[in-house]
Amino acid sequence: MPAADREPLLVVEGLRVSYASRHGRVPAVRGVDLTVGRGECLAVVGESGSGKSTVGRALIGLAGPGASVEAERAEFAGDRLLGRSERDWRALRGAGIGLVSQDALVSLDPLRRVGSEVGEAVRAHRSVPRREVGDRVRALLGDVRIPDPATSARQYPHELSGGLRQRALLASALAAEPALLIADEPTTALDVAVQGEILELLAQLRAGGTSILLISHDLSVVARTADRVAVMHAGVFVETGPTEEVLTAPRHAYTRRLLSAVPTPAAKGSRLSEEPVLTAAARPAPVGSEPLLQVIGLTKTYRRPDGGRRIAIEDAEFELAAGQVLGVLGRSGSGKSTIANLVLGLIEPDRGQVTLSGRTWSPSTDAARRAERHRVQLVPQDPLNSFDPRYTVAEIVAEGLGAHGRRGTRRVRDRVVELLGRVGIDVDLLQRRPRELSGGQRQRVAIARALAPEPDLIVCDEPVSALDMSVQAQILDLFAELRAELGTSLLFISHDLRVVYHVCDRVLVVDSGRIVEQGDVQEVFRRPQHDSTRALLAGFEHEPADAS
Amino acid sequence: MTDNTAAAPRLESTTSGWSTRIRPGIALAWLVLALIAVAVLWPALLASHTSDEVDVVHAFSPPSADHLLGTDRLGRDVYARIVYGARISVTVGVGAMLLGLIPGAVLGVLAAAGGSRIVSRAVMLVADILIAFPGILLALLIAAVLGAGTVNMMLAIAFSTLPGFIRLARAQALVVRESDYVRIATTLGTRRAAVLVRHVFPNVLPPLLVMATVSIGTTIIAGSALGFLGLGPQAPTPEWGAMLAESRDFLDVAWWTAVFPGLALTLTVIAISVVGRDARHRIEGSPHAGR
Amino acid sequence: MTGKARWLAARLGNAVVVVFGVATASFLAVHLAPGDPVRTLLGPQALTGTVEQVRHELGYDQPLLTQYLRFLGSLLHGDLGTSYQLQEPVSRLILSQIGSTAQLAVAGFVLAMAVAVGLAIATSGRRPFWRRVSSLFELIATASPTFWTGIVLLTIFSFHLNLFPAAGAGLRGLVLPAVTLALSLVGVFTQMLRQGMEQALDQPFTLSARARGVGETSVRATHALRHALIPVVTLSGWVVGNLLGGAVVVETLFTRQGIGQIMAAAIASRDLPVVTGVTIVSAVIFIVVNLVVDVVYHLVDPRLRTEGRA
Repeated sequence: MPAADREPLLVVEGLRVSYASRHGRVPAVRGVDLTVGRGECLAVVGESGSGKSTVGRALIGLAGPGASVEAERAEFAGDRLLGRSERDWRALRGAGIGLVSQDALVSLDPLRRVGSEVGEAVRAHRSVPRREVGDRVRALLGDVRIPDPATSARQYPHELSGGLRQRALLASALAAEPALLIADEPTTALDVAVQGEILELLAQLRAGGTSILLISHDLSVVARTADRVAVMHAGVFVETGPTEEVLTAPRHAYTRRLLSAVPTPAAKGSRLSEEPVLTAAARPAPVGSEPLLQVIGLTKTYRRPDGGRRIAIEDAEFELAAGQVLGVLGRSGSGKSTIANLVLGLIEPDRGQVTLSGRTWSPSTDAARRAERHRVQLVPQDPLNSFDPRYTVAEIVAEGLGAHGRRGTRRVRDRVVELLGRVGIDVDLLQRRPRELSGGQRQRVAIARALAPEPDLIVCDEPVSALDMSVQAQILDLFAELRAELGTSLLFISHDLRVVYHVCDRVLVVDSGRIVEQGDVQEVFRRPQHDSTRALLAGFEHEPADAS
Repeated sequence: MTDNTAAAPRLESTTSGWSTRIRPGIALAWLVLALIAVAVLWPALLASHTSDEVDVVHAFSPPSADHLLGTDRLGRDVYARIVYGARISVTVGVGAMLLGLIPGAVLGVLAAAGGSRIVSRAVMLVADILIAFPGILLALLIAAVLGAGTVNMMLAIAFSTLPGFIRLARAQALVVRESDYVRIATTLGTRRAAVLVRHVFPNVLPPLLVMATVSIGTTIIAGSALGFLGLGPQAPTPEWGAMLAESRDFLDVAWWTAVFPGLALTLTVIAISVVGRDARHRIEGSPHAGR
Repeated sequence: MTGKARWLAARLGNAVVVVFGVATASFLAVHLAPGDPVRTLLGPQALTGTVEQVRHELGYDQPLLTQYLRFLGSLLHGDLGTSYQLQEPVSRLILSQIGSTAQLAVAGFVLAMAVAVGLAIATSGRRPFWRRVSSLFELIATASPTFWTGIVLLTIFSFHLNLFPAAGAGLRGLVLPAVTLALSLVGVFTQMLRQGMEQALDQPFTLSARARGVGETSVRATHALRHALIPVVTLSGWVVGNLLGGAVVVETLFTRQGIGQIMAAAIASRDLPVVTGVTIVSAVIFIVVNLVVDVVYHLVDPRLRTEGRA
């Protein structure tokens, strides 16, 4: 339990950070107060653009070139944080306040061995005589529970697994024994199981007396680890308080929105966002005798650079009924993308077949498929290469209508406007280019494009992974509406357990090229049969954490 | 394989800090280019003398009011020869670039997205072989074989720029081919040829054009190097490189016959580089640059 | 065969094919060119009888395929033919001159590299003013043709200031040619190094290093520099090309011994065996350097070392 009666380690009042830009100064942090006591963990929660990372960096004087940092009061362990010289900052960084970032793959120098990265703070602060640095490094790696410190120290970051890498990064931040650790999204980009391990390490640290400033967008991470929470939005804290209080009885509207956007198991079947419902009543589920999509004995292998063969998918079998949403879960490299490409008819299988409404879909030729091509469409992940950068929104959707040459005609234009309206995109965005839109808007356009040829099946490849929680909520609601109204089937690929649970009727679990389990989503999640499934689902709360 | 995607690496843009300051520089660069265009199209507008007015009495006279940049060993006005020489250098530069760009773009795109593995391998092998001729030596070989003359120079230099264009076009085409919007165009039923025309070529072209603009600088220098070695148009046609070669033996008496033609060359190439870099800024503000 | 060995074998195989292609391309360039090489050699005044005799002697009257096979055969023996002008075996000619060129090339390269590293470290990520100055310098250095900078240097330092000789061997005679050659490289080197460093300084691992209390200079020297050198290493092919091409010009300009000067003379006199021979040798050097660099690259960048595994 945090010792609330002792002198707080970090006290900041009225922190402001702004950046110089061509249009004048742009504020990133607009007046923030925070305190962190000894042995306490304060979490700063917010979405991208809220300014939370800037707060962390400003505290160690690394807000970046062109940054102007001001505060009414900023003290760490009695020392002033303002007006420090570069030399003073260097003395503080690593030894007083440490920083651990997300994704050790890029946060550790890929050209240097792990050991030298971990020992760098020790050498910089000369906390230990030179010849003992090696021992200290191995001890540190042991502290973060890396199984074979001596070997790992001699390896390069990319040679370690994601979890070990992140631990090593943590060790490098703790090397000079700082009293406060700033953890900026320390568990993003990690598997759920590994996330848990890192969070445990952090809890251990806290128990040992180190204070933690945890910066995250993930409310479940925060719920597990933090004593107090500050919710940040547009550069200010909209709400602060003990974790339990803020997460169960939020006072501010933004906090409430953030909480309801999280697809908890209890929220399955209900809306996540506050957006108005755009579509009409639901169509009754079609009664079909045969499944829409059937995959039988599908196998695909690739030749490896050194000559061997890599099995991407082996003997995959599953069915998808009309109007159903089938989720595909698995780690990266498990074969999810290959399944998507095979179903889309973009690659040919080595063995097995895919049938669409009983007719052979794959293996087949482009010419044979052309007439039916439009029936299976794709909504890809967000990054900009989902769209031809030269096309406007109108042209993108028009391409979906197959109306490339006839873009200008009234009929085409009307249909484009109608489609965009259905996904919530306004008419005045018609002439914009994709890079001028926000992530959420781009995904809506991608959905409109996919709907244009009136497909029976849409393959969604991580469609919400790159979106902020609140925007994700809106898009998930949109999927739910469209599915209810149009009866389109979805093949929904995602690594996010909660999203899959929320959206899907049934789910496939893929591991190392094989489908190890499939069935009703609630069944599989509650009673996983296969070991890989259990491992994948570890950490998924079946009971709602709080009644929100 | 270590990738030398250009005959010479091009000068890239630096991070922000340039944009506001270089404005006067870009204007200046455009001005220089305009002057050169005039020199190519209406040389008489800029020079009062002609390039082959022999006047041996006044040979090797230093810069004066009558001869702005002095005279050479035959008494010809150096300034006039520079102005008239612009035509050769620019023609060779632009011509060689186009002769490399157009086939290079087509071959590169075909190698990446044409659908035939054999074609792809063949094209890349040709590019590998051509690139193996280091720098200017290929041009030298071909020019030596074909003989002197402007057209031969162009051909020779085009061969050495060709592989760079092929490689860049192929690399870009590969990126485009793998992107989601091309996958989706396929799911929409678009034929392969239509995909090439609608998506691949238009997105491959911008970086190629940037490379092309900057490579004009390289081709102009290569042209003048060939001229310097005697492989350019024959005397008395003025050519900047040949002028420099002539001047080498008289450096102690008439430095102006060497310095000014070279200065013209350098300024031209600088102007092209600056303009090319600016074009790059604008183009890379958009497609495939990511953020 | 392990993954590594397979990769190496593939690269070697590719290199051999390319050398073969280079030789063939050179042969074709010479033999398919318009005009009669023998007439060109002997001049327009030559008598038909002499022309036929020389043609027979040189083997030009044989069918193309036979000539090609003989050409390949002699290549494999290291025989690059005989110079028309000097009546000496080309290979011997090249061997005797290559040392001087190598000296020049190494001097130029080392000088350019040293200046580039210094400039890059001094100007990367610092005040914009120095970056602009450096950029301007790089621009001018790259845009100026080698033969012109050589001429300017000659004029100033040799003829007017009399500091260095206009021609000649020895250390003093090496200075101006080496500086000229270095100027042709330094622009690109500095630019790539500086850009590479600035990119590296923007990366998350630099933030981590700074957050550990490491100072700015140390960050550049121990982290950024290594990353910045990698793209420069891939430039080495272009560097070799530039050095060899530059040698032709510089040696002519400064009247230095070397294969560049042989090449220039051979071009002027249309001495095709020499031109072809030097080109082929240069190409082989280029290919070998690329191969070595590829291998070194793989050894140096630990990320690439585990290719073929996991």
